[in-house]
Amino acid sequence: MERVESFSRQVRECADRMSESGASALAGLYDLTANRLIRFAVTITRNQHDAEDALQTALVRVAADPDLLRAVKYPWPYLLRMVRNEALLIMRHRKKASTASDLSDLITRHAVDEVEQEETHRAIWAALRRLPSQQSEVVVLKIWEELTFAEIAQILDASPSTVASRYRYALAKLSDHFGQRKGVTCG
Amino acid sequence: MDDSFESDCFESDDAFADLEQAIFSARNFVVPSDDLRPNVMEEAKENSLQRLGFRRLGILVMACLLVWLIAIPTARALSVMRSQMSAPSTKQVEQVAEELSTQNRYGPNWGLVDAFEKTPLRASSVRLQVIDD
Repeated sequence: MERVESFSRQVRECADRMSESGASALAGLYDLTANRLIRFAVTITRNQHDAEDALQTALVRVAADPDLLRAVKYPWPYLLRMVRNEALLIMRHRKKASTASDLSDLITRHAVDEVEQEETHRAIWAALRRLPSQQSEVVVLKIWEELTFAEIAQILDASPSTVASRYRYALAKLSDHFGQRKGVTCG
Repeated sequence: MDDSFESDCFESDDAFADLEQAIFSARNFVVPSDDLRPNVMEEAKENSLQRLGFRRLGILVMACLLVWLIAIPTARALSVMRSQMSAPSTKQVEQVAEELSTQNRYGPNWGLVDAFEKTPLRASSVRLQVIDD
């Protein structure tokens, strides 16, 4: 929660600057949030182009009305929700999800001395793509954004128990996929 | 991770710890394209200029509407006042003078005096109307 509060505070500061200086202050919010927002959006849209469209629409809306973020208690989860809604809107208008199974549509960070690590990361992204988006978005918000199930539930408009179930099922599937299952503990 | 929604009959957290760590390490693998930042800034700037333009147009329309709402009745009132304040013509005065002198049986010169004295500018049009009736 503290991490969310801290990052939300930074997002709010950007929104305050935008309220004072106008759209020119959007750069600060973009630099702070774009990397995190794009990785979340890609898990929903399944392709980089649509994810960037969703991100662009959400940030332009915020630039037009910074009070959207200033008026809420935790601006960061609210911004995630905005991007999610835009991504879902784009998906709704697409007759068929355009997904490249080999991740060729994604723009990735290449580290010259980390080829093996890049392969691992590529495999993880490919595995996340195989999950239903309802599960993959929970995994992303839980692990990458380090949100609690309660916070994720507010973003996804679901109950915390539903979110927790999706997370568990997703990890079980990923674990099976990577062959790392270590046994079941009941009760 | 601080969660109270533990579910029974699933793998323990330890079993997934390595997996979660591996997923966590891949969080920065995908990045925005180089075009995205300038595109976002450009669209936000255009939107801002468009909103400013619409706002100014709105103010102009309101100002024109206000002027129209004030000008029309004002012009109408001035038109009425003008007709009320305008002096009768020479012919009208002569006509009134002739009628007064005929009614009161005095000369046309006295009729002319009466026409000016007894029929002030505003009343003259009323008087003329009475005479016409």
